[in-house]
Amino acid sequence: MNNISTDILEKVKEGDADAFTDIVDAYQNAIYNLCYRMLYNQTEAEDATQETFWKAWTNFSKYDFNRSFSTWILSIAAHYCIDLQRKKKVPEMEIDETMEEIIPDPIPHPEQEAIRNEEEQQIQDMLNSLNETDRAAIVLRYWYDFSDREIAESLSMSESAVKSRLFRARKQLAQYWDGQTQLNQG
Amino acid sequence: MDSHEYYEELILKDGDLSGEERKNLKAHLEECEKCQKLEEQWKSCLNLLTKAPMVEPKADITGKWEQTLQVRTFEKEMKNQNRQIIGTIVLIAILSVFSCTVLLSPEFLIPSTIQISQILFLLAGLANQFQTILSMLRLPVLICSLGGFLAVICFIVINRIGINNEENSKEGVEQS
Repeated sequence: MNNISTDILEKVKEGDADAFTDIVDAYQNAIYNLCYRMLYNQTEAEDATQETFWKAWTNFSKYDFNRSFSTWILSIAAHYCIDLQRKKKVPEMEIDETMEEIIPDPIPHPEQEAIRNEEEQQIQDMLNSLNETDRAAIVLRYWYDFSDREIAESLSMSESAVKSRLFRARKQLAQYWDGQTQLNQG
Repeated sequence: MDSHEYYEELILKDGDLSGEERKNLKAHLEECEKCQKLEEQWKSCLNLLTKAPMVEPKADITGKWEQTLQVRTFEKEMKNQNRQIIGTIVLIAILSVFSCTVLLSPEFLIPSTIQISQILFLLAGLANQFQTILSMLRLPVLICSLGGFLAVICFIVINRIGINNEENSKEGVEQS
């Protein structure tokens, strides 16, 4: 993830759209990866990436220069994806309840299905087994190396809440792994 | 906290364990199958998570962003414009309703009608006086009007003759 210079940030604060395009160039992969890990759908992740940049652009006046820019923009993406997942809560509950039936074909496009390798599928299944906030905490920790404090800042919660969420999420992932192993053996 | 919870925390702890913690955990794992299993499961998960790559977008995010920015900025401006128009209409409507309520209220309507009728009476009186003055000066006004009319006609005729003379003299010069 590239670091953005203060000059560019100041230009953006003054309303320079070209300078903001530099930010889009630098952060598109990071934002897209977070959205994809959260939503597990290419189109939705692309839309969420655009939405994140739009929110960042329109709310740039609220950005505090003392804060890390990465934390701030990834926080926007995480919150947006969490909200999106909550709005789709009903279908997600169905996924949890009938995991074996629905998980084998989460994406309707067969070509995407072919591209995904087994490990990628396992990772995404594991992440999908978590609730949206725990998933965001895990993604920020293992893909972005965020500290407890940075995760707390990004997800607007206390550090102790992050610690307990991460502990719970790790335990849940380990149990999910066990379930999957037994399913494969059976 | 029972002993399993303590060891679960150690197994799932993010970061290095202290020497004491490592020693205690090792001893516990040798005799506890449940915690041993949890450790194995978590290690497999952690292995997957740490080697998982960043997924890159297939679409041109920057190009799409430029379009998004253009479209949404336009939409935002339109929205603001519509909001201003609606605001103005609402303000005018409120002012109109307020004015009508005030003007048509009995406390305001009766005195204002009296005032308007007084003004109309005053204007009628002035018109009457003007008429009297005009009737007294009818003959001089008629003579002045006719004189003025004749003076204007004379001025136009004289002016026209002057222009014709000038044109004739110019033609004479050109012919010679």
